[in-house]
Amino acid sequence: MSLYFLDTNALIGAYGNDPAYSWVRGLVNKRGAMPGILLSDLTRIEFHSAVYSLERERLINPGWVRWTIPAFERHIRLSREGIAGARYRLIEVTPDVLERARDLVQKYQSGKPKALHTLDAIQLACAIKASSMLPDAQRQDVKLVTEDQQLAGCAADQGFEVINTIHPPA
Amino acid sequence: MQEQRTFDKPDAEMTPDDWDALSEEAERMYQEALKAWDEFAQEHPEITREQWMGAVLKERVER
Repeated sequence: MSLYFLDTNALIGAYGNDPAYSWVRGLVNKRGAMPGILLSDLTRIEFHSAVYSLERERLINPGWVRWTIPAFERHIRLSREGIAGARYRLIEVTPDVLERARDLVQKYQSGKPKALHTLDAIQLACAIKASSMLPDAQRQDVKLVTEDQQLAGCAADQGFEVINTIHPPA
Repeated sequence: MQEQRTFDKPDAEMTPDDWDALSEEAERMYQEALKAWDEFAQEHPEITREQWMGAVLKERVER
């Protein structure tokens, strides 16, 4: 079974109805007792920030914001094993994740293959943690979904299969 | 406001019915969000996906 670690920018597309995001919307709407979507705790903050940014730039209406934020918060509240409506599994930002993120920033300091910024590094460290929590045979099952080119480049370098939200696998 | 109480209840006090109610409420809100998005997209066809995602990704860009 594939597990998808969704970066915040990938997740937010699922809360709109743009046909370009139909694949990720399908993922988010596939629910079960063991959801296949992994999110960093960081996404809980980044999602809010991105929604408010869209509103400030008048790229969305207040009605969308009014429903999206509470829907997302409820999805987060429901993110626990054994809950029928669960959509996500949350990966905690623990001290070891932050240490890993720091190491990743150091590793990619030259900008090759891509420069890794603070939030990208925390997301990638969470994806690595999620993968390391699985049995060896399943570690390759974690795919990282993002539209962020910096994160995509470094995640691929770390051995992840990277999926661009609007160019999903057939 | 039964639903709001369900959302605010501590996990330890949540019953299976409470979780179901919360899940249904989340689904209804999610569908409303999609509807609101559709309305906005119809009113503003000039806004592109690239603009939208550009604003989202700006969070990660160095200043």
